[in-house]
Amino acid sequence: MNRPIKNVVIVGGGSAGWMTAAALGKYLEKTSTTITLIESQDIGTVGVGEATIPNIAKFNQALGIDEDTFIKETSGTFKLGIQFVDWKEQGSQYFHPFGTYGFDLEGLSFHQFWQRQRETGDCTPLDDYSLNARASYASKFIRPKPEHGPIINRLSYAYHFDAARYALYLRAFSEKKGVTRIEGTIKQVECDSNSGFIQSVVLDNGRSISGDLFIDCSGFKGLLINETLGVRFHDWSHWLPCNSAVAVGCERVEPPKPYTISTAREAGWQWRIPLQHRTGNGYVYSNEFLDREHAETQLLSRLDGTPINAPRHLGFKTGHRQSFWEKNCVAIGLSGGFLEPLESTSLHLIQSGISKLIALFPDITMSKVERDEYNRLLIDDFQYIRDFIILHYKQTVRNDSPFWDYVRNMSIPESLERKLALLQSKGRCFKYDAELFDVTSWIAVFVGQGGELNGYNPMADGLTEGNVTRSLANMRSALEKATGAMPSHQAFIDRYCKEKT
Amino acid sequence: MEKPDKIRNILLVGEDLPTRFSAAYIATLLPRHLYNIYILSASLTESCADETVVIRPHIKRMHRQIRLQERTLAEYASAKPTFATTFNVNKKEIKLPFGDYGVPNARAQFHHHWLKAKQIQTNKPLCYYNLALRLSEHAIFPHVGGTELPKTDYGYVISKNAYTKMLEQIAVDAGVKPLDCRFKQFVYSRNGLVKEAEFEDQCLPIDLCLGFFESTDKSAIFQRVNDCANGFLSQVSYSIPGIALQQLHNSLNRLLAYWPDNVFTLAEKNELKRINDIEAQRVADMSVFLNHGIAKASSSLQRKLNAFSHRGLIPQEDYELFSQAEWMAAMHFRNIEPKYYDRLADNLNVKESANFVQQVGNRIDAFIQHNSQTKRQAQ
Repeated sequence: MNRPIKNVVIVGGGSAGWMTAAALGKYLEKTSTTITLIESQDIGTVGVGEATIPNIAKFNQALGIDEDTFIKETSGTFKLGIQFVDWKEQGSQYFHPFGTYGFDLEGLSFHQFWQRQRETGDCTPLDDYSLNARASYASKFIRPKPEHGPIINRLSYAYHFDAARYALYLRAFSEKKGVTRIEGTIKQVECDSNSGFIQSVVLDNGRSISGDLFIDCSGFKGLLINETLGVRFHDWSHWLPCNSAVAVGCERVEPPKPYTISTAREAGWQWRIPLQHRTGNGYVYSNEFLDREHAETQLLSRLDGTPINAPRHLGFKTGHRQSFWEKNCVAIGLSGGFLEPLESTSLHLIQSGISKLIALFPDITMSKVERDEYNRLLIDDFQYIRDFIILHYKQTVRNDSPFWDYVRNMSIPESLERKLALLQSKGRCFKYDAELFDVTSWIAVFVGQGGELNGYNPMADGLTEGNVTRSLANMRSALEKATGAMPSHQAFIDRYCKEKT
Repeated sequence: MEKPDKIRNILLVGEDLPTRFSAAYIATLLPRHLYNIYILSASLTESCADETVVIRPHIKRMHRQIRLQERTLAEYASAKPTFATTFNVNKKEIKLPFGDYGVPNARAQFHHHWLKAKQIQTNKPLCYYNLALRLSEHAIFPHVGGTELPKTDYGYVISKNAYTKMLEQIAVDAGVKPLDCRFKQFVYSRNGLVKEAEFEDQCLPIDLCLGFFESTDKSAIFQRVNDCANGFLSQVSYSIPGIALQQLHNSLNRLLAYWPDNVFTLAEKNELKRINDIEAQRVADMSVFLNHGIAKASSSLQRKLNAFSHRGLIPQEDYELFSQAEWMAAMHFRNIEPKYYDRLADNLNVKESANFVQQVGNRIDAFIQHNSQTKRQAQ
């Protein structure tokens, strides 16, 4: 007999809390389970993940959220990829596009033919074969529909949005699905003395809220998973040494670009995220190599427009809890782990935690089987993303500061070593089952950071040189034409999803 | 180490079916003008009497790639469509279906509603709601489509000898040269590469040598070649009918993706071997489970058993070869039933779940009845 969970208590609002509340509200809508979210207006949210990856669209679709409404409500813009500036070396730049490069030929990945042409002296950059890169640099965007034809339909996109507004939007959505919101600060957590399970949380006004399952969305401090249950943190600082960030919004000085810009700096990197109403900026750095004041000064000196708020400083540690699910508590969001937002994966990791929780939704016994499986899958997710982020630091020739000397020379995980050895051997790159980033992403960053593919799959020699040259020229021309046919990003927003003023 | 010239001569060795299967596939996909591909027409291994082989649905894609039509298979290799792999384990018959159990509802898979409905009604056995198993039982082969019926696919049972010959002919048409002479030994160069294959009356220079074997005994002949940077062994398992070809197809796809221009690098060989080994573990999990139950479970098998017996979940591992439905059939065969159902099934109340289960059963019954009638009329 099932012994269903009667009460789910979510501790903390923000993106993680409200995404979890919305999803559980939707998926458990017709069951007898109640969902309560506790948040305090006195405790600020980190507001992580203003930039996203394409998977976020699936999350919104699953909830039944209309895309245009969502963009309007969150002052969002569209995102076609990330431009990386000064990462390989100062003065360099490359683009990590969503979507794919060119078209595969004869069953082989496009990049094999690109590399073959390169070896004959053709220096055409990879970006010329990416619809997303072309559209980004031309500040164009269109929402692909079948009637746009096969080229434009390859456009893959995500969003930039105001995370605080997203949380507000999801709050309204969740409350409609029956989620109860309680305003308050948690003063005490009560656990069962035998099992150690969390029984209830007590608010500052003395009210006690009990539950069968607690979701910790309390941010870095991990009120339940860390402070109450004492689950230790698996630290990856030696591979990802950035541990601080300073963030500030500034006025918009130009139409929003459909891509994020990430610029490598002395001891980390700076993001620039265009929204409809402002530009989000931040400097992610290691405080071992740069102090807080210098970080702030450097950030403020490189803004497009006038700052619209005081800079906010954050400290963090990269890694994850040794278990995301412990006893009757599941940590989702920053309480579970953190990977710096270089590839905009923070909201994806929240989304992944939620979908796995739904797939393994427990009853009150909190079976070890489900817990172990949840932890195993989440750890895999973190590790795959970790390797991809480390690639950006390791594969560089920058030697202009102690920070870059450190990351260039540091040891890397064995799984990444294997991946790099294969990339260096004729661009061998395949997406593993649970991996988030695909071949395009690995090739874009590896090549962009100055990695050499050292040859190509000899099967690419199956086509004559003339054939390959013609095919690649045709691809460029088709992509150019498709880009030309798109409206500007600003025009698209103005027409379909301009924010409410 | 001095780099050899670019690959020109490729020799495929191994047992009859895997070698022909590989030759047909590789020769169709490789640029013909760049390579000479050879296979031994006389077997390295003893041929056995004709038997049948199961072609799983996965292989139909490969057939399309080598332009092997279903009609040709039926005409020349007595291919009979099948909706399940049927075989005996310890003298007891088991069917692994090529289709789902029921259809999902309210975000929960069918079997959770089936489990839940048991609270208020006596359900028909779960296999009753698997269209693939029902069709297999009724020996009818209609086209199955539409969202209201459980997803169902089909494969073939086919004459192994005829299929092998057919694949050899496709390989030859794609430029493969069968060597009609008696193999003596491999000759190795001083820098540790396999250099030649020596036959009774000739020597064949080799740039790349690929082996396709089933058993460790038979592949012993290839072990030294496999240690060379220009040799690679794909070993497959016949422990469950049909799975060897699926493993082989996956292995060939990886081989083509890692196709060398002269030799494999160590990183490439290690990666090919690593993934082949993971897939072999997936097959071993199923085989061990069917034959020995939980007694010799690996950690991945143990995870499956725990998750299924607890709440009817089948965790997907990397490089999984068997579908969830096949694993469910295996669990059923081993009399393992989930203790609880997925909570998402509670989006329907128990009565609604019971009605839903009944409706799915009725739909399957109606489909089978209609097609049985059509078959009778056709006869």
